[in-house]
Amino acid sequence: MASFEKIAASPETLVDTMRGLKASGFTFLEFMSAVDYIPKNRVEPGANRIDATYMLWNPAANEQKMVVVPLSRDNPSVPTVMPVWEGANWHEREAHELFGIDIKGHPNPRHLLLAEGWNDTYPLRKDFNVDDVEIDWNVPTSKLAEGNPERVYHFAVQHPGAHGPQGFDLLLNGNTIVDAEARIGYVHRTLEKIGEQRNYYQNILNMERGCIMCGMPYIDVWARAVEELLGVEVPEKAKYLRLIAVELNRLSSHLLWMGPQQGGDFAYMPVMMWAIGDREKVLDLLEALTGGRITFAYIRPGGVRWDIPEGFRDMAEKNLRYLEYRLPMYEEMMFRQPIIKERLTGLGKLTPGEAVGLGVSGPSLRATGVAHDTRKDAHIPIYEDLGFRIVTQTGGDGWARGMVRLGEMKESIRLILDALDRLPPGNSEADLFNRKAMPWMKVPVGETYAVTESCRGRLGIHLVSDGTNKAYRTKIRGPSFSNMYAVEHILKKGSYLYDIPALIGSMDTCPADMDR
Amino acid sequence: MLADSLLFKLFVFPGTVFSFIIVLFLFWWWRKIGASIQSRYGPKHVGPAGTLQTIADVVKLITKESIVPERASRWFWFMPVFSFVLSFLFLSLIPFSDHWVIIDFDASLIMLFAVMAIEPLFIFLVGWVSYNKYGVAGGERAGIQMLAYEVFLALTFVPVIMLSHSWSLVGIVYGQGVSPTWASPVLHTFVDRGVWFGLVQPLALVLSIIAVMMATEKKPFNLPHAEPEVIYGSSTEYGGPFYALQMLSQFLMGFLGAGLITTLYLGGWALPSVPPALGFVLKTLVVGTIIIWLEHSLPAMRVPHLLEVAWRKLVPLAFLNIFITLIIMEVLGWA
Amino acid sequence: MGLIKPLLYTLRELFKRPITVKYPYEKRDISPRVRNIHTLDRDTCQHCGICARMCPNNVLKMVDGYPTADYRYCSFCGICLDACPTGSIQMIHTQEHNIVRAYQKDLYMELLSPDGTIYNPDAPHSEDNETGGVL
Repeated sequence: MASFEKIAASPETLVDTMRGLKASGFTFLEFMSAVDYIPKNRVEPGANRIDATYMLWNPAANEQKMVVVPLSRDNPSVPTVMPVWEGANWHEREAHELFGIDIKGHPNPRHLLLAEGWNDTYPLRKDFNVDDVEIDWNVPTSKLAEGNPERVYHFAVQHPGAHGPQGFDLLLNGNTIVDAEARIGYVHRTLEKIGEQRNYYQNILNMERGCIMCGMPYIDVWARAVEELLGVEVPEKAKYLRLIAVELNRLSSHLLWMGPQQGGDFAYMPVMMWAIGDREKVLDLLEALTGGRITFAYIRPGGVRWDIPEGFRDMAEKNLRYLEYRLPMYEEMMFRQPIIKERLTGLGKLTPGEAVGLGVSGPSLRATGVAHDTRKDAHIPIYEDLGFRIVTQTGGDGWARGMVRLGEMKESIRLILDALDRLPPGNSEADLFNRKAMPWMKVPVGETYAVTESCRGRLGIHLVSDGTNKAYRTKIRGPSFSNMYAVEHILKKGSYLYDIPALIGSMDTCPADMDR
Repeated sequence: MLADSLLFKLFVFPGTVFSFIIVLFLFWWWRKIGASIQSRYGPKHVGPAGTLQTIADVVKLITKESIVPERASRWFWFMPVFSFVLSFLFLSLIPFSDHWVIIDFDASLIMLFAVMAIEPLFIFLVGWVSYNKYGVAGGERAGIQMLAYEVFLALTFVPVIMLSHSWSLVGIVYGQGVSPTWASPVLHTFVDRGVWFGLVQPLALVLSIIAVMMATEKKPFNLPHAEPEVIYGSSTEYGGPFYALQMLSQFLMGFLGAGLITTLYLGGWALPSVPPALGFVLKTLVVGTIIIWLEHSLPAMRVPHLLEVAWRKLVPLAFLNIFITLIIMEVLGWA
Repeated sequence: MGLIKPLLYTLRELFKRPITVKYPYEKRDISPRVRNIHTLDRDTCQHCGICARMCPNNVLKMVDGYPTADYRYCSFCGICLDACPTGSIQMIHTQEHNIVRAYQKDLYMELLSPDGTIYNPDAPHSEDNETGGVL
């Protein structure tokens, strides 16, 4: 868990401050967002401003710093930090459309998640009223579609290769991509706004909708953020159970990636179906533990909702050993096979510096040889105890990303079985809840940033509490958001039409995680 | 006699009725094999073991509305029909036996190359007339794929022509009755018409299976219809009856491709104690099953990889194969 | 040559039994923790309304002092049973998908009794529901 240090800056000195911080080791821009303080807020009563927030991470020392730029609510404006961090692009567009912050010098200040014809109302501001929204649906959503809609090759949403409601508008010259623009925001539910309207306990349900393939890390990180503000220490057993749940979810997500995502990119039906079939074994375990197969509502602030069930150890041993026996076969089928190896080698190659600058995290970052895994970096004690090993590759291409995920699956199986062996006795949750008072559970005023490693990368929740039973601001850093920007970046560098599905697949982007 | 007339051959066997039945069967068989490889059951409920499922599907597709895009050319209607006619032309050239063949003449193999060369053009036109970006992209890939396989396909058939001294498909099957003297006592005991070219030329057999899979767009080489990249390629805009027609002609082409391999390498209709035409169908189904298995076991290729494999690996192998044939003919004293 | 192994794997799979569960004919075991539908013990219910207040999707509403559920929006998280101070609300697991109705308005219904029966099949629950909670 990462607590952070705040640094104030002004719009004039922002870029220089950022340059200095980057030179001093804070190489990773996690997100750029904002907090809106209307006069009647309870965090700082009377404050009338918008804080533009830039969360930075120093991977070597595992330190967090947040650069805060106070701005007037009437006319907020900051310069772009894209000269320092290429990956700030989409974050700034998001802040522009959701908070109305004018980004000076931004190359493409269009709406990213909202419709382009959305009027000047800003959903994440505290005085937002939904009745004021008017949308002009005639404005074309992508810049490419403005001039020559007939030439745009839509690789998005309805396209069978696009992995859900995400994709690109492309300008093609034969098979070569001339220009690309991402089309995302189709599943934008404003999860952050919903998070401010539900109370802390209800949000365990809300947060795991963040990513449908990998919901457990979302509730894990939400619970840890709330615990940090409450100052509650979770029992040892609950930590182990959380680890088991999160790793099981990671297994199921990676299997889903290997089959339908990456296998489906090559129309490779056997691996696709076998991976879905083997995922059932993991889902059976999750069902036995949590009662849910896709959404769980298992982890809650203070611990986990249920203790381990009877006979779970044997079931886990049986199912996971079977999976372990199947993994070498998948390796032969997917990663040693010449046709697929040819397709994945050199696909979307990223250098370590490029990847960090773009904000890429998770297996895609570790495939470039950067050994950053938040499970280890954030010093989550259980992972240290179990001898967690970071899986890395050096290629930086699609094949390396695949091998990292395969290695992580093996590592997850080992972690789960070890954790089950060493499961400590005791309560599975802290004595936190007075049932009658649960809806009114208050969290002291404060601010925290909790991070974890979701199946797709570094997932963080920036939580501002105003002392009531609801959060004042929840900012979610969805790893797929930055990873998808990296895909757009790679496509713009020059790629080919036949590489796109495999490229999106190998970055394992999740539209729900991206749009939030 | 009725059964001898050209009309019977055209409309009953091996023409329309038979090909329709065999295509429906193949569709079901393709699904069953695919399902089994993917740990599923496949069609199960309509008819015994789901055998009537394809009929149900075809009926469903035919009764659907056929939507023509607003800006499509008026040739939109004709193109799928043309490509179906083309696959029938292919059918008429394949000898089911020396009696059950619709057209046979001195150069039917050349005619067959011509038909196979026109097919990608029609796939391209199908995409072009539908006024669809994905259709054009898929059609363009059909052209690329043709560049990859056409020369290679022709080269894999050269050894057969050399061995049989014939350009006629029936003549090639007859040619497999001629064998070197030392082999005949052994092989004639179970192959009544002589030695199959596939036994003399196993490399050529493998190469021509690859070539036929390329020509009929089977899985590793399904670029024109590769779903993740170009939706359904040239046929994207075609639904309902047109889709049914395209699926049927695609499966007919698959069957005929397997039939071509049977004709050229596996002794055509020759099978001991089995009526000739049935022997041909049985052998073709075995070859077809192998192709279906390969199709379901392999992922789709990338466009440049296909061209690279075809020109850098397969074409040299095919040339090598021609030299091997020369050596075999010289050493064994092939007549 | 690397192609040989995948081909052998698929060939081996060709002769194995499928893993499909033929659902309406055979059923797999469900974990007892699966939450399929609510039950309510009316004898112990204190009418406090905490369950309705805690429901994240506003599924539960208090009608005549007892919670009723609008299953159009329920996501079966079970937060209501965490919230219930007396443990009157429970969620049980069933093998059937029994919350299937022809009309959306029929999904708005009373909670079951703990033994799975209906409390008051004829009672209308709201103005937009004429048919009652049929299960």
